[in-house]
Amino acid sequence: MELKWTWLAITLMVIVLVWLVVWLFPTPFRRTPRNAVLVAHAARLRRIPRFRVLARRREFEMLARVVAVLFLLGGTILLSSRLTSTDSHQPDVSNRDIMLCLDVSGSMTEYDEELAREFAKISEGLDGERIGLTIWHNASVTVFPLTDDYDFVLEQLETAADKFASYDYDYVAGTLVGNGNSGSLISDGLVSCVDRFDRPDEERGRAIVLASDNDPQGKPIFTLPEASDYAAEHDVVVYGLGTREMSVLPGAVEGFTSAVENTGGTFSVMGSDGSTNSIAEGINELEAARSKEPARVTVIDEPALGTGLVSAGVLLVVLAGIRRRA
Amino acid sequence: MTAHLTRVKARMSIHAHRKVRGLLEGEYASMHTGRSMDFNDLREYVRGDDVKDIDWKASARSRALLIKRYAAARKHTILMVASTGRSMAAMNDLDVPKRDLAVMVAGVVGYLAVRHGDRVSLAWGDSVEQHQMPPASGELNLERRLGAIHDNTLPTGPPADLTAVLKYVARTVRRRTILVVISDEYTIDPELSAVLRRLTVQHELLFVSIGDLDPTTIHSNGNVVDIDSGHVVPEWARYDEALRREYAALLTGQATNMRRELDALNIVHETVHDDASAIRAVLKLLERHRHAGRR
Repeated sequence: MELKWTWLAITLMVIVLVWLVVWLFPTPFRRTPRNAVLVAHAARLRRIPRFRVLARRREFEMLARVVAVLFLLGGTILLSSRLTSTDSHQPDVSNRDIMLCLDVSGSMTEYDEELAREFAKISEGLDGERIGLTIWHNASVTVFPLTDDYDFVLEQLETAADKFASYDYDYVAGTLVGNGNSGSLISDGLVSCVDRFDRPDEERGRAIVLASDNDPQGKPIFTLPEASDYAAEHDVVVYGLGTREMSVLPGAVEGFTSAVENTGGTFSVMGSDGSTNSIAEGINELEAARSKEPARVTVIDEPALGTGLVSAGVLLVVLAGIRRRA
Repeated sequence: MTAHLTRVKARMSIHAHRKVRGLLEGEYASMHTGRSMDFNDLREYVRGDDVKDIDWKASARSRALLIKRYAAARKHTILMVASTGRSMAAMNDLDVPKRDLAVMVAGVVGYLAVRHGDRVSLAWGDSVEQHQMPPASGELNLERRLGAIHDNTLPTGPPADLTAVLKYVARTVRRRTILVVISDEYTIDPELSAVLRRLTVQHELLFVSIGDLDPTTIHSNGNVVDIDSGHVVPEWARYDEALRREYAALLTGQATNMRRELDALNIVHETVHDDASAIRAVLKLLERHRHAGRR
């Protein structure tokens, strides 16, 4: 709250003050009225009870008028000097980044539709985060980068789920590079997902939802512990989603779990009770780092107070006038 | 110089012509017990008495030397006591200040006395200072006394205090006088009552009250100021019917109380409202006084 034309307010206040001083100080501006009729012993009049009744009534009326004048003056000064408020708007939209990291290897195809739908469910339970989708086989492809446009996110996840359901290999084109003797490289996928986070200099809560069966074929560039360390290094929390068949593969669950817990995340099995819920809760618990967007400063006229005061003053004047008539 | 007295005479001839003339031609004299050269009584001779005063015939009858006594052929002294505090400078009605009315009352009384050959003295004052002018006969001296009343009653003067003035009179005036009190008191408090009682022992007392302008009856847009406090009588208090009634009742009650108090003191009392009533009141006062205040 500040005044746009402070000088006007000060000038008006000075004028009002001078007027009050002239009004209140009897000399030398105000003397006993001239041409007055002099009467003696009029003090007797003041002792009559009826006089006191009238005086109290008059007092009340005058009080109303004084308040009315004060309201009018204050309101007018406020209005004329334009009371404004500067609204420094700090848009704290997204404070967390979540990358959905999807394994689209052959062993995962049957789960990918389910996963995409789960992601859609997860993203519905989120608020203010940026969400991105990256799919990988032995190479990573960004389906859509981190964004806070949830309509777009849901639409994309819907599309992804449909594509996975129809085994549309065009959709996953580019995730399998080379002759196909390597694939489902979870560690490389994780590293490239970690690299998908932008604004590295900002303190944001970062999370990856990594869905895989941890069944890498061929030789990855990074080992899974290396990838996990890399994620931890970048303060990225990884939440693991495994398949039910993973338990068959030796060491798959253990390796995935340790990699995930190394970053502070959790591992859960897809489709098991409350898996999506636990992940959504975990994401919410992520530190809500404020995004450092510049504050938007808006100057807004605040006529409400002045208008209210003036209106109240006018109302009081009218009421006092009616009372006087009555 | 003779402005006050001229006005008084003019008013007297307008308002109460016949009665005033009657008073001037001798009725006024009857209010005084002493008639010069009148025989009063006899008493036994004591050494030092003038031999010329011996009533030989009566002495022969009673076998003792008797002296004739006459009532002293003296001039009477009228002492006018005027309260000249600032409340007397206020208005009696919208046109006439109370001061002018006081001068009128004093003028009527004084003129009658002067024409009768009596001497008129004046005491005046307020709560701060009191003065007097010695007894003197003649219209010029009366005019000076009227001028003193007029000129010493100022709106800027100290408050009125009749008790103080009367105490001053009781302290300083030795001779027996006919004392005419002109004031605007509306109550007789115990102190005033005491000093009045003290003065009635020495003097013949006539009490003239001068009324006040009732602020609730002023139908003018101007300001009305209470001269005692300097406060403006608020306009809203001047146009309220209920207040007007209550105030009138209060004034009536106070007037009745005052009359009762003064009657108890056996002081002849009149209230004066305007010029005409001033003359009438003085005549009534003198008449009542002649009948020992019994009428």
